[in-house]
Amino acid sequence: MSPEVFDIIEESLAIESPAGPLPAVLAYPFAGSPLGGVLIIGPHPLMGGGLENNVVRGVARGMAERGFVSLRFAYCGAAPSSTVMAEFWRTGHAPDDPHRVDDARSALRRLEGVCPTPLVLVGYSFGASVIGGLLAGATATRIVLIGPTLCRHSFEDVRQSLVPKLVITGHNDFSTPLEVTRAWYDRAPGPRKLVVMDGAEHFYRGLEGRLVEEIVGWLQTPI
Amino acid sequence: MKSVGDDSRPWVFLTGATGLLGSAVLHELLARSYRVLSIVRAKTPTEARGRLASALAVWGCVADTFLERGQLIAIRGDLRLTGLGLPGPVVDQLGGMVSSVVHAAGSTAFSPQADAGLVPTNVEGTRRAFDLAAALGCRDWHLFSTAYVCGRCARAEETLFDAPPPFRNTYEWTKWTAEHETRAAAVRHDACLTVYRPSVIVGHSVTGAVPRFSGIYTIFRAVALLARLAEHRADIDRRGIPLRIPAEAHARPNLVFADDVAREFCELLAQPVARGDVFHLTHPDPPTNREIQNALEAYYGVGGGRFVGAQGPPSVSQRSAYEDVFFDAIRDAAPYLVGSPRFSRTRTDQFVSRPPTRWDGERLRRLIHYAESSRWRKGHAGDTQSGASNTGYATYFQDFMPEAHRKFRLSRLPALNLDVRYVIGASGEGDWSCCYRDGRLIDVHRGNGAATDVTYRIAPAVFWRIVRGESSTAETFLSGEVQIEGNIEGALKFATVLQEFVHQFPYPRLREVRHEP
Repeated sequence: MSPEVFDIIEESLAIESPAGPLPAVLAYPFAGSPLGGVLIIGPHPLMGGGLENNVVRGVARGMAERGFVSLRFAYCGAAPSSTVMAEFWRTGHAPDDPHRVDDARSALRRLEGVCPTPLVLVGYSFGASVIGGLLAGATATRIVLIGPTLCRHSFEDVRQSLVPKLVITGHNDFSTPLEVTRAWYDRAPGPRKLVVMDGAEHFYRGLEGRLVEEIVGWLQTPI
Repeated sequence: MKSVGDDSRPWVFLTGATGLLGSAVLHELLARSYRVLSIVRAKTPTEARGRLASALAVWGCVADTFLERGQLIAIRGDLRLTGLGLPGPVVDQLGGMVSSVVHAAGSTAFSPQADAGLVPTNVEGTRRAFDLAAALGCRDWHLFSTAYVCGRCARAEETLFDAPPPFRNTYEWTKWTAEHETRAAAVRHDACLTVYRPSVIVGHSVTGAVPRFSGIYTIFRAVALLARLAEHRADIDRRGIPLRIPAEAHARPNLVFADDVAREFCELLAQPVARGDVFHLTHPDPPTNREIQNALEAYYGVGGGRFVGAQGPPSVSQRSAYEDVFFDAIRDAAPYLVGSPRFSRTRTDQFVSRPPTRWDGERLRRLIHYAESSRWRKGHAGDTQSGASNTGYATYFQDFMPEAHRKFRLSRLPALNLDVRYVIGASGEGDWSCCYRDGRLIDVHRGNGAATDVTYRIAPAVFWRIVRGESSTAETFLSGEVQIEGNIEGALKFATVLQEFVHQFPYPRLREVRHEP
């Protein structure tokens, strides 16, 4: 794998999904053949998940600069009602959450149609939990979980998967205590790596480049 | 990888998009739905995007919007390198993709210290840009030059000047040379060359926004500093500052708003019949020196400036302290206060929808106000980058400077008694104090051990440019690249001492590089 850094081009797309078109951005090296595809699955849409999220945008662009085709997308859905918001703040769940997997699956299909394997699934925060719903029948060769919200969402499918995983968590991640992440990681089977990022909490602001370096470094390591 | 989209609009290849002119042009191109490939000098793609974002932000434009739409691409390149330093695969990808090449990059440095950098940028850089255009198979060439390729001529037509006119400075000569070289290259490559000649570009006609404060802004800055000086001198009537201005009151430096230049360029670009000619993007009715003076004096609440004609500033021995500061500050821009060249716009006016925005006192005030409200800061990411390690600063301050000072004879201020502090970098990674007594450097230490008369806050890149003697201290101090705190009068006087010191003892570039991590 080349350590070269590429200038990139981005294209905005509308991905067809069962719930309607998903706004998305494809990013890839301006020149040369891509090394593989990376799907970035963002935080909960009620928690700043969108194309402009710093981790989503930073990792997507960073991976493209390192030779990959990345696809980031915004979840489908109308603006939530106050009832939905109140429920979300109380439980961390919204009624549309199950449909987020459909959104991600639609994006994954689009990426598979554009780019050759290997495919890497990168989920951040709530998006990390969405990966569990994509694993059946997916061609993903690696999984990256950034700040997984283990205390709020189910990660059982992800944990049980034998697809190699990289788990990145902040030393001060308020969403999931470090000991919870370590315990979950210890119980996961298959090849895996845990990175505890010093100076990071859940939002990784200013640390997007370090996230990319961790991911690329791990992808370069044979399993 | 092949594009997955179905957008077949052609791409405009643009150089210089992080500068004043180029960023205004980029903004206008994007607003008119052009797709733009922007060549940016940067070490990483992130830095390249960041520089574009900073440049576009001045015009109220969010770069990410256009990057994510696939309407703007940042490609790292360098005019100083053959083929702009683009890797082979990038050149291959660009081949057949680019419909027009717009070369807006260039150096507008007028000072003699900057002469060495003008030819590589304005002549050789232009040559390389259009060599690349030819290699890409693009035959639609657009060159930004300057209306002042006419030199000191009183009237200029929209045509190439075969014989070199009397130039004010090397800058004008380099732009004239670039026009001629590019015309010859266009003939060789069967390309169509269109030349655009803006005059002195200033900020936005409505907001006054501008990405950097050079050129005419050094005069604004000089008046700002005079006003600050007057604040600290109870014995001086700020409405009666004894200042002789080496220009004529009725002369008209041709100032033109950046957004007007960009608009007129895009209107011409959109019309195929406007190809292959020369267009003056100038102002038909620019403000007089008197109008500019009135705006500055009203804004800063000062007065007393007196126009004394174009014969040049009084000799050093005849200057007041205020004139010393003022003439040092405006030295490079002053030649453009002389004369009222008439730039024909006959051809331009045939194609553009309306003339440039009319000048009035309020628009001048907005330009000044923008500079003041932004505290004369430059917003470029490159300026915050470290030019050397802390070891580099220590070597300069502890080894090089004391040794050089032992050989240095202060010619202008032998009774210099000043404690000067340099805070280098946004986080103060270099923090050094120098004590001068009776014109001698008696102590250098890290940090601020004692009371300081003057503090200079300075970006690392600017610091190294100054100590290498590559930038005039007056220019950097007055352009706002160096922030001054404390005794303003002492700071400005010391600037002249520092200028002489770095002139006699420029810090060798290799020495600094050796200490970089």
